[in-house]
Amino acid sequence: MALVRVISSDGAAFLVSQRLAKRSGKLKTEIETFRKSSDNSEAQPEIRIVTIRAEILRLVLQWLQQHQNDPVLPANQNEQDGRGDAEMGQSQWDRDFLAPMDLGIVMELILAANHLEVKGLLDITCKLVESKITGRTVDEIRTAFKLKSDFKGNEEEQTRLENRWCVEN
Amino acid sequence: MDTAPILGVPFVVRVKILCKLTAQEQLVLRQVCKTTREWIDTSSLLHHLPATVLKDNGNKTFTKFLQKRPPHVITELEIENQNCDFLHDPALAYFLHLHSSTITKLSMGRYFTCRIPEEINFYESFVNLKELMLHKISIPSHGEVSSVFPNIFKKLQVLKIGDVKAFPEPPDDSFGATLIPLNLQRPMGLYVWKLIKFCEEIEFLGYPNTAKYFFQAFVDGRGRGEFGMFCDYIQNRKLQHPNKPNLKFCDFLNDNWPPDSKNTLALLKMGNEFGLRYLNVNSNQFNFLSIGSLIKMYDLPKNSGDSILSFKNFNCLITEQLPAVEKICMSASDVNTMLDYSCVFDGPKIFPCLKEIEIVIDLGFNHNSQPQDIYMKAREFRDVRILLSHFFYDMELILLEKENEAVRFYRSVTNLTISFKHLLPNTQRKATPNDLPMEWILKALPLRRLRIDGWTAEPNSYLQLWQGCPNLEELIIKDCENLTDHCFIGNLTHGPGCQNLKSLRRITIEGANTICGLTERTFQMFQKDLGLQPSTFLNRCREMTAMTWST
Repeated sequence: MALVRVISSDGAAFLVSQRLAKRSGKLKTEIETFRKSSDNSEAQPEIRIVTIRAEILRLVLQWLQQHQNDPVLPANQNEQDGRGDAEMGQSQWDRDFLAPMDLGIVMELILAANHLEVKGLLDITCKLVESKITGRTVDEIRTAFKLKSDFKGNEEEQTRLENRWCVEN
Repeated sequence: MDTAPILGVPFVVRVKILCKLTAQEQLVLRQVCKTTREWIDTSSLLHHLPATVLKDNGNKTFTKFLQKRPPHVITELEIENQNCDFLHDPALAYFLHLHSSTITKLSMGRYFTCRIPEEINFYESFVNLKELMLHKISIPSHGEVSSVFPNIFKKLQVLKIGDVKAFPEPPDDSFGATLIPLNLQRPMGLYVWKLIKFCEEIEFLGYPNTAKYFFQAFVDGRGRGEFGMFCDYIQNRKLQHPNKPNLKFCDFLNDNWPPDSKNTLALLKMGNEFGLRYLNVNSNQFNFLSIGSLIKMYDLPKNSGDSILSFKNFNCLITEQLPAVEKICMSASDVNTMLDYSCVFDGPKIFPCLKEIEIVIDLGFNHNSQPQDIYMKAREFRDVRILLSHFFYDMELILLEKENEAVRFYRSVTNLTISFKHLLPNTQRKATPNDLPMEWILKALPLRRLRIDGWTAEPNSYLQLWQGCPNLEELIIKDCENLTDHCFIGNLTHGPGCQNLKSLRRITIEGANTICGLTERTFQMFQKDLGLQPSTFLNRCREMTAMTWST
């Protein structure tokens, strides 16, 4: 089985099958580039991901492993208007996978899925973040996402007044 | 991470997260902090975002757009250009940097055959383009005709072409041929075919209206003219690109072919052989010949008529069953009063699967119309009524007898579009249900989707209309100048309009003149009585030309 060595930003190496790695758009391109530039067809590609730390890379590979037999969706599937469709791929396993994670990890996972071009993972993580906004009050959102109000003077009140036509109806 | 992680997500991810939030949820997020407020204020992260239309402002087209409207996700772009000046706008590069990768559908006012590098670079920047509409191809009548095409055209799935004209256009089309040297007419005509053939992956072709003066002298070398070129293209497409998907649909909305039963036969044969389906086939093409007898005469398979999906200029002269036809369009300007409507037109039997009817009242009143012109046009209006009465056969009689009974003749038809075009504004003449037999139409159709375009009716007419469509799920109102709160809120005679619109799941109101007649009273009614939520922000209403409310 052809393997590829994927190295995280903090130096941890993961040995995965090329078949699995190619389910990531970014890794697929890297493997193909390596093949074209390498004289030895048997050589094992080594890909360094400088923006993703080991803990997150492990989660991405775990998700890919679980979904290795899923059909590969084109990058623009259901995105003609810029939107994805998380519901299509979300399973009980996905829900259990995401459940113990705090929002900080989820955000890092989103960045990793976006960087590695793993559409299914990006869809479900974005969906999770969206669910943390849906139905919440302003303060609840601030707490959940560790955001602080940086409005000055009566800016916050002004914003609330601008929203009144919709929020209070 | 120092800042909250959510504030650092890339633009595409932000769009992915926010675009499914409702208006209320987006507004709650707007109150969280300055950054989230900016996200919402600078983005139209809305459901069902309509196409972004850029008016031609020469070399300020993109500068003005970017100044007026903040950047947002654009997936469909229309540029109403009349020349190439927009390519020299200094803001073009920034606009393309922001938006070109998300645009999958592009519509251009004019295409100038990529004679200058700026034009070719412009098209090349839309790396994810799938659909291209060229309203007019302007082929230079002086100098050599270019044959360079942007490479991204090879990946197009849909190519629609409107008119093909010489540039500069002769002042009068009818004498245009005399202004173009004969030796240029042939290469100019061939240009369109080179373009179509270059787009080797298209599955949908919107056939161009090749102006008569262009192709009268143009033949394909075997004396068969333009239709011969079309047939060759269809037959060779699979041979030349065996690994590419074949053409699946051809739309004749703009074609200008004269009626010819031989052409019709060729269309049916090719449709059957190559699995090609046709849209907007001109009913006059059949030239009084029955499709059934053509099929019999030339020994074609019985289902050859199934390649026709929709008809334009429908004239009620078709008598055989066509189960594949899903849409027909009747245009007032094409009603032929010389036709003999004495035979019974059994529409529901002929089109058992018909889903959509479009009625276009396009009688061109204008400010210069003389009284006799208006008289003639009014007469044509009556002819439309005759055609409709034939289509909705016997409806008038049935309604007289059973006035209050809803008769659903066309049980499969759920979509209706009625467009009024070029009616003189601000005159006493109103397009009301009295002009058009709305009562027949509505009683004969179990409508779920209604689109009204350019209607200048009084509020009562709207209220009557809602009464006739109790199962309406989607309503689109465009450029209807008299639209006011009364059209929805009702009056003592008709009661509240919302009572009859309880099934509505989506309302779209388009056109600045249409929106300005409505106030918050109507919007509150949509929200409280119909349970619809706004998908656009009222505080941006003045800048907007379309609003959508949905469940």
